[in-house]
Amino acid sequence: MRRRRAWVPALVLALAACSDGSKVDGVEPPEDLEYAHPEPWVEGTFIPPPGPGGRILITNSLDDTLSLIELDTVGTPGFKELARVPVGLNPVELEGPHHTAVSPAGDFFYVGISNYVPGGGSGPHGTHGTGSEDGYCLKLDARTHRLVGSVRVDPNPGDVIASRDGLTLYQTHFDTLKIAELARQGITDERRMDARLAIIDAATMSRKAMVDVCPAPHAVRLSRDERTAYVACWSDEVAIVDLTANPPGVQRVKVSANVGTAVNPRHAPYALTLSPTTGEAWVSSTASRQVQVLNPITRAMDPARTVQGLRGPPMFGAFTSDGRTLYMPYQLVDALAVIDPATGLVLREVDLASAGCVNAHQVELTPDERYGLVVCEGDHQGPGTLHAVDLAEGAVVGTVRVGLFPDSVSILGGRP
Amino acid sequence: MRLAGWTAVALAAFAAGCGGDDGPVSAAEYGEVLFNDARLSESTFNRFSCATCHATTPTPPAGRLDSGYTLYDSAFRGSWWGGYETRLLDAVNFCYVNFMRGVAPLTEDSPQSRALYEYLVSISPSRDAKPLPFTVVKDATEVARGSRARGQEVYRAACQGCHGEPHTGAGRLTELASVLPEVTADYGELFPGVPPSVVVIEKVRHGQFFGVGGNMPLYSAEALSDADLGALLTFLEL
Repeated sequence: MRRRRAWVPALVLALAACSDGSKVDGVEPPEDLEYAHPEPWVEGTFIPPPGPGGRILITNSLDDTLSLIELDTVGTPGFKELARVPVGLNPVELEGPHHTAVSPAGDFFYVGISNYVPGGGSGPHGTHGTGSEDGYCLKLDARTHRLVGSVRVDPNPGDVIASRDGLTLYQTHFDTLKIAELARQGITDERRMDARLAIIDAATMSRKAMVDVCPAPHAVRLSRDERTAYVACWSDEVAIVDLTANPPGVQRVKVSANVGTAVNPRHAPYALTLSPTTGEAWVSSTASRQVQVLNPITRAMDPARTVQGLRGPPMFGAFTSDGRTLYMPYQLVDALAVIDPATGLVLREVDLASAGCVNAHQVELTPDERYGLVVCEGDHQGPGTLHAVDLAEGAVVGTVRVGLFPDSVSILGGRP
Repeated sequence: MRLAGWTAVALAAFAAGCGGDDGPVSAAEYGEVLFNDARLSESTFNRFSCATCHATTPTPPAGRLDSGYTLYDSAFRGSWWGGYETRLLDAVNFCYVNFMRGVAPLTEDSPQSRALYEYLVSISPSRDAKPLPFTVVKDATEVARGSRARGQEVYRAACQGCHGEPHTGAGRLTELASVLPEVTADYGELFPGVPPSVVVIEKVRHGQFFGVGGNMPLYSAEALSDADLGALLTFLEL
């Protein structure tokens, strides 16, 4: 009897394994698996990779997308948005992509994730998108727009740039929340309000150094020899970072003789544009509506050439390669000021508002320097815009509607 | 003689590869098994399979309110997660890592990954399927209450699969799923001044995201209407 029952477990096993009629036992792959599709997981949405003509990238900070525009359509009837692609680590929550850096070879681009998205969501667990969470720097493949790497950084990433060889990224943290929080605690020591400059290995997407620079640093630019970084600081300062030292040394220079504090700045530096010929840093201060000049040799400001009289806050400008002209977009009236760097005088202006620009944010020149590409934030409720300005004509010749609150324009590849 | 006969039957069944067909196994068939098996994820804490949140029929079966869309005709939608994933594997992996506790995303060329793809293709006859909306309800705010009877239906269709019977949790998918509505007893202490109903609304609308934590998927506006959510809250006496 006992012997007769010995085969029962084997039969039960056999029948159990077969009870659903499946030829598969468990989740281990069968040995003789037969595939019908040699290329699995095809792209859902195919976007052609950038060609030799180059591509314009725009970060839309309130809807987690990038707008893509072919560079060689600028100034033509074909000037339009090629595609709008999602960017971020999480398809559920808005993450606030902020600024883009591109690799010199045009194979990768980098996007800061700020996690600052006003109105990003709320509930009993708290309000989302306030910038209190850590940010990220993302690395994306320029051909596929797919994420290939990321590194966590501090809260409120601001600007991000790449070194000329593409091996190193520099990312600031515009952490005004930190200033406000410490001020609320009655703390006035500005060194405690400092936020850090992240120095990132672009190949491995790992942090090489985190350097305390100043309260709420935003724009960062490198000197021609890339031994120095200049950073616009909300605390009415420019930080000069010696990248040859280990750890990097920081010197802070007040942008004016008449300055405020990190809590109550009088000038509120936000953006910064570097002259390709003199190396001077032209600092855009949003509160005083001035553009102040830092001499890189003396490391002192040159008040004689401060750009004054702008009718709104200046933002991210661009120099011509000969250093003779500075184009500076500014807000409120929304215009592009054409500035003589030798004198600091505004030579003329290009009206952007009549083309639909609201809150001009940055200008980038096309490689042939024939056009200025001005990105405008919009009203943060509806689409922002990108405008192509014919610099010789001084007129907007093309406008493209993009996503919500675009805050940067970069050019990927493209040959003059 | 009888013993030998039954042994032969059992061995024959094994030898036949269970289905009586000794041919190769199609990847789609294997993919269907994986789709329905929580062991696709190596996590010992996972109890979710793809089928926990997704139907595979053109319309979801009656009595089922899933957080995820049916995956019938899903393979060629072009984008997923409301347009925020443009590659099907990325969309799948978002579920796999976040809800199924997958330790690492499925790779493009693993047998499991390829088989899942082939199964999804096998239930996707339309090459022109359009992307589907996925509206995240960003702010957790009160909703109008509905009928208790409808709320009971919603509970059975949307909640019971994971949370089990109300008040006892009997039959719940995992002990990590809270017992409803008893879990709200602590909310007064955890969220002082906040009605427990709003905490539940947040959990339903945000799932594990927006700093909430846990493992629950979220219900978009398309997956669960405010009217049904209001009815559910009535049923839960919240």
